[in-house]
Parts: sequence; C-alpha cells; structure tokens
Amino acid sequence: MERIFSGKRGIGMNSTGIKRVVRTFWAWQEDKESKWLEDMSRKGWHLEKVGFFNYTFREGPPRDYVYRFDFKVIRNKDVDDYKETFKDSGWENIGNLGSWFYFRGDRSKDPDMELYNDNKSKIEKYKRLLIFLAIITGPGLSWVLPNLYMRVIDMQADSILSNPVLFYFYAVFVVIFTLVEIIAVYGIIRILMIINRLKKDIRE
Amino acid sequence: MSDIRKIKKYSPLTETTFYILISLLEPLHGYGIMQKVERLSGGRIKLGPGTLYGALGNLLEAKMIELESSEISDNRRKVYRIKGLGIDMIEHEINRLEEMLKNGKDLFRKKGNRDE
Repeated sequence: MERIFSGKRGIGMNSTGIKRVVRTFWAWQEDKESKWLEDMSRKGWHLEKVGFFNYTFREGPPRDYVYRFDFKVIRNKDVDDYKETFKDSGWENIGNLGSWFYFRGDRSKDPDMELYNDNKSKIEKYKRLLIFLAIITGPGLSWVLPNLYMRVIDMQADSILSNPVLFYFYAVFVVIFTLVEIIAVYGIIRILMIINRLKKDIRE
Repeated sequence: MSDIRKIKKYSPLTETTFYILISLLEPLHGYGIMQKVERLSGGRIKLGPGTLYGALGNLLEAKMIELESSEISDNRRKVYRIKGLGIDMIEHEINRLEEMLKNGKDLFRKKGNRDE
C-alpha cells in the first residue's frame, strides 16, 4: 500500500528532492512506522511533514535518525513548553497528526535515546490513547450503529429508504461506518494487548 | 483526603518520579530536571521527555509540585517547584526505601552471600 506521488523535483539552484509517499500505519504499528522512517533516513530521505495517510520527505545526506511518536492531548497554551522540553533533550518535533506528535532524534549522538524510560509511563501513554479511542467510538458503537441497522430492518416502513437511490447511498454509508467502527474496536484490542505485555514486564 | 492518606495512596513512587521529586527541592525547568537526575544517578537514569512530562503532570495533579510564577523563566519553559506535600512524600519514601535497604542487606548477609 505504497504510492509515490511526485518524484524528484528541482527547487531553485540546488536540486533538492522532495517526495510524498502515501502509506498507512495504524496506531498499534508504531514500531513498524518508526523502522520505516529510520530506513528512509538511512537512504537520505528525511521526514519533513506528516499528513493523514501520507508522508513528505526531503532528500539530504543519509543519517542514522531515530523516530518516535508521543500521544498527548495537550492544551494550546502548553504546546510550546511541551515541544521545548523534547527539543532540549534532543528530540526535534516534525509535526503532529491530531494528538500524535512525531519526533526525531540523532542516534549518533545517543544510541539508545527513547521518549519513555520506564514501563509505567509507557502504559500511561497507551491508556491515554485507549481513552481517546473509547470516546470517539463509544457513541457510534452503542447508539449510531444500532440505529442505522434498525432503519434497514424497518425499511418497508421507512419512506426514505424505500427509494432505491437513497437506499443505495444509505447502504454505502452504513458499510463505511461499520468498517470504521470495526477498525477502531480492533485498535482498542491491539492497544490493550500492548498494555498487557508491558504490565507483564517485571521492570517498573 | 488527609495528607497522610494521600501520601499512602501515591506510595511507592516509581524510581523516576522519586528522582524528579528530589530534584525539585530547587526550582527547575524540564531539561534542568533531566540533567540533574542523570547526574545524581551517575548517568544510570536517562529521563525520556515523555516520561518526564507525564510524571510532572501527575505530580502537579497530586499537588506535590507547582508552577513557579513566570518572571524567572523565559516564557516558553515552565519552571516547577516542590510543595509541602511533596516534601512529606519524599520523607515517607526515604523511610520506605531505608526499610527495604535494611531488610535486603540483613537477609542477603545472613544467607552468606557476598558481604561488604
């Protein structure tokens, strides 16, 4: 699931390459995502911008970078202090996707740098993510979805749904909404598994 | 909740949180805490900024530390300072750690392991 949007593009005098890659990683695939970004940097493509389902890279000398992601719901007035604390300790903020903050560090300066140095605080991070997922999926799962399906069952009585064209759009909407909820529930299960694995570790 | 009950509720602190708390016996900003903890532990503990940020949030919520008024710090970096409850917490933890250390040493020696 990877498509490169634009290849090398000259900018001014120096032919700096920029490329945009469409790729999807889910919340439970952090290791895979960081490994991919680190491989890209070793090939001389450094992450410059993150967007939904796409990444923008800028070409430069190959570097041994480390990429990590923090999940933090943070108030606007606290963002500067938050980023500053990370920057002071060698983590450059590249951007964020909602509450996911993307950081990059230089492994040649510190070979085992990490955002989290104990399991307890790692668990807290995943619990924040879990609460977030529960809040956004809970109402859909317990209220919206049952109501959508009830209308389909009651189709005969429903004047709008007895129109074939409208029913088609309705069905497409229901299918998409169901898929989103399935992914979210799967995500919650995977995050719970991560928390469980961390809890079994006897280290603090 | 009374202070004693609150302290018991939060005990035991993690190693990281304990070190952050004792570092804040003098006012410091985030990176200052990281440097001090690394120095105190002889380089053993390298605080990650994610862990630090989470612990500071928890300590603020528990009212063991507070933000220093912003005159001293530059605006972007917050400066943290310990409060009375935090000092009581440190005292409680020192007693707990001393008990652990004493029992550990006593039983370790009795078993005829390496002694000092």
